[in-house]
Amino acid sequence: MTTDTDRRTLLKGAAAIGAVAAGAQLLPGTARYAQAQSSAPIKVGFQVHRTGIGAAYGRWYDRTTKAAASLINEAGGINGRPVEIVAEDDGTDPKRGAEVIEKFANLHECDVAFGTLFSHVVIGSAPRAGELKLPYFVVSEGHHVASGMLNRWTLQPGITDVRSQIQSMAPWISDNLGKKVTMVYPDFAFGHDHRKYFTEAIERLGGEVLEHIAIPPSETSFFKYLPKIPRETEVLYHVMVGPGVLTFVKEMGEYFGDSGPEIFGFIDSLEAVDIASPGLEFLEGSHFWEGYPRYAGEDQSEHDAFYRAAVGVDDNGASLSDPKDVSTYAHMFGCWETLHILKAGMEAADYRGPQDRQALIEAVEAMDVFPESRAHPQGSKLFNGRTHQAFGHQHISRVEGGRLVPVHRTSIFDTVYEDQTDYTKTSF
Amino acid sequence: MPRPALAHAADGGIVLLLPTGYYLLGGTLAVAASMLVAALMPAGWATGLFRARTLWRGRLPRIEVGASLAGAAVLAGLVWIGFTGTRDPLENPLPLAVWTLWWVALPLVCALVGNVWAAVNPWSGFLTATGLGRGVLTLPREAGYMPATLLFLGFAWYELVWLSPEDPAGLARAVSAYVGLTLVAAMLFGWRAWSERGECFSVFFGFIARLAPLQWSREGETVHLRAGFPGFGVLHGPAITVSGALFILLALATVSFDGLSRTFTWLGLIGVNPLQFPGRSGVMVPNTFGLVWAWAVLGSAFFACIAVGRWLGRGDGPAMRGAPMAGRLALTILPISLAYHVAHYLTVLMVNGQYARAAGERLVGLEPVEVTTSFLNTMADVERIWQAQSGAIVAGHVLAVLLAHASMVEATGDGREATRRGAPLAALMIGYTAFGLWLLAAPTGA
Repeated sequence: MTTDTDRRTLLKGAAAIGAVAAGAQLLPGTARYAQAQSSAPIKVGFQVHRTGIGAAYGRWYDRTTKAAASLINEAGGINGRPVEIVAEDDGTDPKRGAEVIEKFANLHECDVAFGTLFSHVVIGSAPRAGELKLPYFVVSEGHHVASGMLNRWTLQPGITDVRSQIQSMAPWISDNLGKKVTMVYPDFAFGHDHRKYFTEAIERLGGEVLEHIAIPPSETSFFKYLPKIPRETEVLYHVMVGPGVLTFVKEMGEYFGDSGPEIFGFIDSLEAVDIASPGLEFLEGSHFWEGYPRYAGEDQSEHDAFYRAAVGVDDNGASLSDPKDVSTYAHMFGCWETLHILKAGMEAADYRGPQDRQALIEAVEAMDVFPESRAHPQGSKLFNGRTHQAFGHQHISRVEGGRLVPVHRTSIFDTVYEDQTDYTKTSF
Repeated sequence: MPRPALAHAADGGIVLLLPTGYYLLGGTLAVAASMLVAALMPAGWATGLFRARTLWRGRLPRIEVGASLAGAAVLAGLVWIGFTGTRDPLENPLPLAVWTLWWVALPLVCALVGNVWAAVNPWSGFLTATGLGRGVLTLPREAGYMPATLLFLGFAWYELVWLSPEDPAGLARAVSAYVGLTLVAAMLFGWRAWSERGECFSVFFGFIARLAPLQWSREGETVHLRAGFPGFGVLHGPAITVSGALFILLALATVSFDGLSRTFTWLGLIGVNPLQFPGRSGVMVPNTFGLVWAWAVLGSAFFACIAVGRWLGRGDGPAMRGAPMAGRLALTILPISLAYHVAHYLTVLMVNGQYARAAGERLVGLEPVEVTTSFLNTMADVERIWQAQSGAIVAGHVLAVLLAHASMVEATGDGREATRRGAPLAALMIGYTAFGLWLLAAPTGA
């Protein structure tokens, strides 16, 4: 639970990253304005990966979104109006994504668009959202929002971006696992981001990356790359993705046996996979980044317990209706938190309809702190209105007995980096 | 059709840990062994295996018109929901009914109990009841199955290449257009001719139903129910020639290409990073060519087998010529087509079947159970799924080999001659077994 002291610290941090100070719109009095002028629903266009390669994420994004929407509706909706989720499948495709944005704006008359995860879909859809002046709240983790490549209408307030996730791992790794790192990553943009941001971060802390081992994306066996790992490696940082991940882990186990360096990975590789699966035994004792710890730890917050119950997820991060059905726990909270920010933003802007879309963007840009709460169960966040990006705690968990046991929660300040853009200076 | 749950490491990742190489070898050897058995057994055994037995003969009320009218009413309701219901393709009943229940599940039903589509299609009842189905023109004989073949190619393209085949409104438009086109064509050429050679689903389900162990036929008021070993209907049904063969080859090529197009191998060929699939819009052009290419490659291989078989054969006669032989042997590929269908769509059925059930529960006001895909992420379940899929592939090929041999014995009247003439196609079937198992075991990125 966030105390007043935490809030003061966060606000100081918000000032430090140059976020705009809270405006009059955020005063509690106006935020509580809920005199319903219309009982027509607020239509939230939910761009969801129902089919295509993102479908497994889409299923959980859908569950989380529905849970958040019913919670908001039970509490009186937004400005006294119910929230209606209008789901459209983007097929995890950028062209289809842009079409869906168009449908939200022109066909379904949605107030905002929301929900996209895969970066190429966000990048394909955001320009259309900008042209149509449709607020577009993405839940993608991509660095594309904060990098400045998108536009004033696209925001990512409910989930942190990959750059901050990567760089915030460096201090703990360097203090606890070692300073001599070898990185294994797939040889394309996703892997290159890790190479760039982690290498910079560990070098700033006096560590070094001994070897960058880029694996061709089409590779399905990895034995020939493993001997390239220098003997003096203290930490092996891996971010493999795709169907070869399990083979990679298995072959690593066969190669290193009981010895070998400390292993650090990103849960993206194994999101929705039971860590206790056969073949993953080698991961025992290794560490993972988690956006939001899948297993409820001993110091579970009441907000996390509430959130799990509402979405229908047990203490192991699996579905209550099927304990083997592991959720995409590290990511899907972003939908829940984003919808709550949307509510806060609409209430702050006294949002009545599409004519207030610009005011909504400005109201969200004026936000700076999201304290840990039921609306923000993953933890407190700072929001940078200029880069449209949220910054929050990251987590490191250790595999123990086939479970991920949280061992570290980063400071938010470990995740912050200098602004790369200022969307507030661009026109609507 | 977009398949479910492919975003994760474990989807397609667990199968890479299974000893699929052994299955591939074992399965291929099993099909090869079935070829040897067929070659060595007395000629009469092969045809005897597929002998038809009359199970029942009697009068049944004509329910076809009523069933078809009911089918039309259901379809109209679904199309209406497609236009007006939720936009979510996993909640809207139209895409679930079309892609999961009709396209994935109905062929299995037809392969078990016979051609259900002939009864529940949305046209025949209306056309019969109104007398509009008699036709005013003759569908040229020379056209053969080409109308159905071209329409099926269009359907396959819509399913496998088009950006959003599951979009409820888009699908409702596509279904309406196809229903309208079929009505017009049936009024022009007559329902009987159009359903036999133009309406591609009547043709498809009709072919698949020939594999059923039960075969229904009606002569006037009398209904015959015959039973036999699965596939016996292939030997006892009407013959086809080259255009019919092209249709059957297309049906197999499309489902094979759907599998192939997801593999790292294909994505590498068309220059797509298999870990960063761009979405359908990024592969539309290569996959359009790929779909036709797969048909051309399979077709070429098939007709080459017919030619080589003819060259290897000794006797000659009208039945031994290329065209009737191609038709005869193409029918024996049907079990392979069905096997690929089962293996390829099994997980779709398991996942989207749950969504379909949930949509049904919602329609009647029940609270649906949450959908789960955990069986795609656990070793034991993935292994069971793999065994079911590879079992279907091997069984389908074994049946095809036996059927092809029996069909050749029937045509030539001689076991050795049948073996000689059938050997090239049997070799192709053995190769296709290995290909099918490889497809199921290959890493996928789309």
